[in-house]
Amino acid sequence: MRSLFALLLLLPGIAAAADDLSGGNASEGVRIHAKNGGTGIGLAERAVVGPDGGTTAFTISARFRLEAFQFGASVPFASYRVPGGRDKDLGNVQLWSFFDLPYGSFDQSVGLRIHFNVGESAYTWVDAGDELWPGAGIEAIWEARVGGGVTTWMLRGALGVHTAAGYDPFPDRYGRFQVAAGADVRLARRFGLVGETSIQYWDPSPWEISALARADIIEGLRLRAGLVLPLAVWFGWTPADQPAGVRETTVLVDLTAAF
Amino acid sequence: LLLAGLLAVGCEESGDEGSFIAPLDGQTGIAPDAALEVRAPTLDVPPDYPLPELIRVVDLAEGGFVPGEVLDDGDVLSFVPDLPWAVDRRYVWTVDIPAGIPHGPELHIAGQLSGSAVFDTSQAVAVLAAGLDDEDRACLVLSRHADPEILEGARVTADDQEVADLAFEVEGPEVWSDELWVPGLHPEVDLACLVTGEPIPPGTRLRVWWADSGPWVADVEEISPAELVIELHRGGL
Repeated sequence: MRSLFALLLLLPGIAAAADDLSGGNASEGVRIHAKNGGTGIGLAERAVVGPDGGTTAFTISARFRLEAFQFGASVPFASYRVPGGRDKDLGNVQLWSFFDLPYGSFDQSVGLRIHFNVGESAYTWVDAGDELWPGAGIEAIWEARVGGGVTTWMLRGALGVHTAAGYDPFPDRYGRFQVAAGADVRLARRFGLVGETSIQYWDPSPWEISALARADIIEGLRLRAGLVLPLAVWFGWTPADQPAGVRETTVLVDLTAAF
Repeated sequence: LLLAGLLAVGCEESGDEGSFIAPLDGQTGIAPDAALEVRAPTLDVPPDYPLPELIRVVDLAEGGFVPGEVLDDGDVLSFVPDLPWAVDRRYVWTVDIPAGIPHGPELHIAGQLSGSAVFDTSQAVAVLAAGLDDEDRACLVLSRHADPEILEGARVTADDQEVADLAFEVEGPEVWSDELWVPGLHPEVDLACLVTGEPIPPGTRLRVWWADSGPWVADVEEISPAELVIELHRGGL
């Protein structure tokens, strides 16, 4: 299957250990992306459910590895509630580039990510403030993965400057810092669990934890599903005008093919 | 400092100051080409954000919605009818700002702006309310600028007792509107203050007749006529 994908897309494959079906799908959280993984494509669907929900984002992404560099792009599409009905629009295009640092006792990489609006106006968000709401920005990112046996620990730090369509609750421009930590626990050859917590500000979801189950259906094809719990939103610690209370959570499903 | 600056982002005040509708509720003498305005400085909505009709107008003589366009000019929403207002016609207009949707733009609007009000293109003069000015005179809020001559020969009863030795002083906004503290509000109505031997206390029910009009009924409220004008404009205090 891996060879078939590689042949079809003329992209290089990534060798995988015989007992490892990840096939280049790196450990990944929700805010911690697989930016040090191999070449691949992905589809993701995240839906905010509950009384305060109604926004669903579909994201198609692709990443390409060239030696120690990885380049990637993603485009989200959102369906969301508006007064009196629903609307749908493209979100912001995301482009990133990562470089695997050649030193240290664990895998780490640094990168840059930019996002920009392509003329549509999806005035909504799932969790990240820079994904859908019209805006642009640049972010410097550091990610690390420690371990790699049964448990892989994941770390991420990011700092960026952003502009946005400045209608409440979004400011015209903002800086954002982010720290995230997570773990990917391998339960069986095909199955694992992923947990993550992240803190970021400015962001409409300043603190959240995530829990996902993952399954490598076949080598290089990974399915994940789980929940993102926006704790800060539940506590009312959000820049948006939302009172405290458990009225939303995010359901996440994604499918990633690595070559 | 950086952290404080970041935390301060997005923390803006959203008061009701400077909000009102024009014309005021019950105003007469509206010009055929007059626009209906809702000044809502706190309503900051993306121009391409889909919203239902924010202002709707119904012709009370013929029924049905009046076709027109709602324009968003920053702080002011305007309804401009496709055709001029008909003469001697009464209309009701409704301001309906929906609540914001979670995970969407916040629609801040002063609560008192939403609702219905009437206006009239006839030149009739009506009494809309009555209050006490700073000289404790009972003053009627009229529905438009009024020629003082129309009040000649007017009759007034206070709690059904005829008011004798009656005189009126008609005062335009240039006299009393400096009391108004709503920026941008320019009332187009007059006050008719009763000059009487005995002061008329608050709570008194006035009935007023002039020419072939009346009776107009108004209870004297213990607030100034200027504040009543602001209320009829649904102004934020």
